Amino acid sequence: MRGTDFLKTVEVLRPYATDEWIVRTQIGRAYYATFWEARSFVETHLGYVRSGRASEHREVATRLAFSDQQAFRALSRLRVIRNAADYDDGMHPGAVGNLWVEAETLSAWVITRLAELTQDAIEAENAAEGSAT
Amino acid sequence: MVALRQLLSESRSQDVETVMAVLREHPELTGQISAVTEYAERTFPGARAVLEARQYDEWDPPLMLTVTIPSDTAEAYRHAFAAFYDWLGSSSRVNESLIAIYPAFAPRMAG
Repeated sequence: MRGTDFLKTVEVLRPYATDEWIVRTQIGRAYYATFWEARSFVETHLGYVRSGRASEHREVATRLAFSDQQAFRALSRLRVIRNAADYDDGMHPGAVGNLWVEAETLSAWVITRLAELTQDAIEAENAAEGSAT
Repeated sequence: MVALRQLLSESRSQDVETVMAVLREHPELTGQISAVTEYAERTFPGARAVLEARQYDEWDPPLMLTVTIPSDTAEAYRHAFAAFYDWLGSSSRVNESLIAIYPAFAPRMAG
């Protein structure tokens, strides 16, 4: 599977997203969809090697910063939103809804940007191969 | 300049003590926080900032400044997000190892 498969959960839950616990779950899935896609990109194109520790969340974002500062910023913000959704109780339901708007927006943005960066990297790799032969 | 008291008005009480301790140790942060809040107020009408001592992960800096930006649409928020970090990157006046800065979404209220 790949990261964006997590977004299927978001779609399955969308009709029920009037409940706070559903929205919080959607936020978590949106973050992990984005994190998996970012991790795959930095592994494939930027030489990242998984540490197997929780710090992978920081390491992947930091490595992504080499390619795109805005994607790094958005992934970093998504991590905070996901933590808030999973750990902070007592939030006003409207605040949770605002977090979801952010999470969905930033997740879609980063995933789109990663697709562009992947295309750029493949073209650069092909060009390098071509000039080497 | 936004008063520190205003930035801390929505913070948890235990946060306030921690925030003040960090600011005493790093007095230069106060000016950096002012620069961010002044930029936000100038650029995003209705922006509101909250200063907390919130760390979700061990590598998070001790302070977190969340600037909520009222936006008509999610797309408008995304553009504001990009502009915010473009400014932050170019200003390079903020020590982000001590304070994390995040632009957050809020729907713009009618009227």
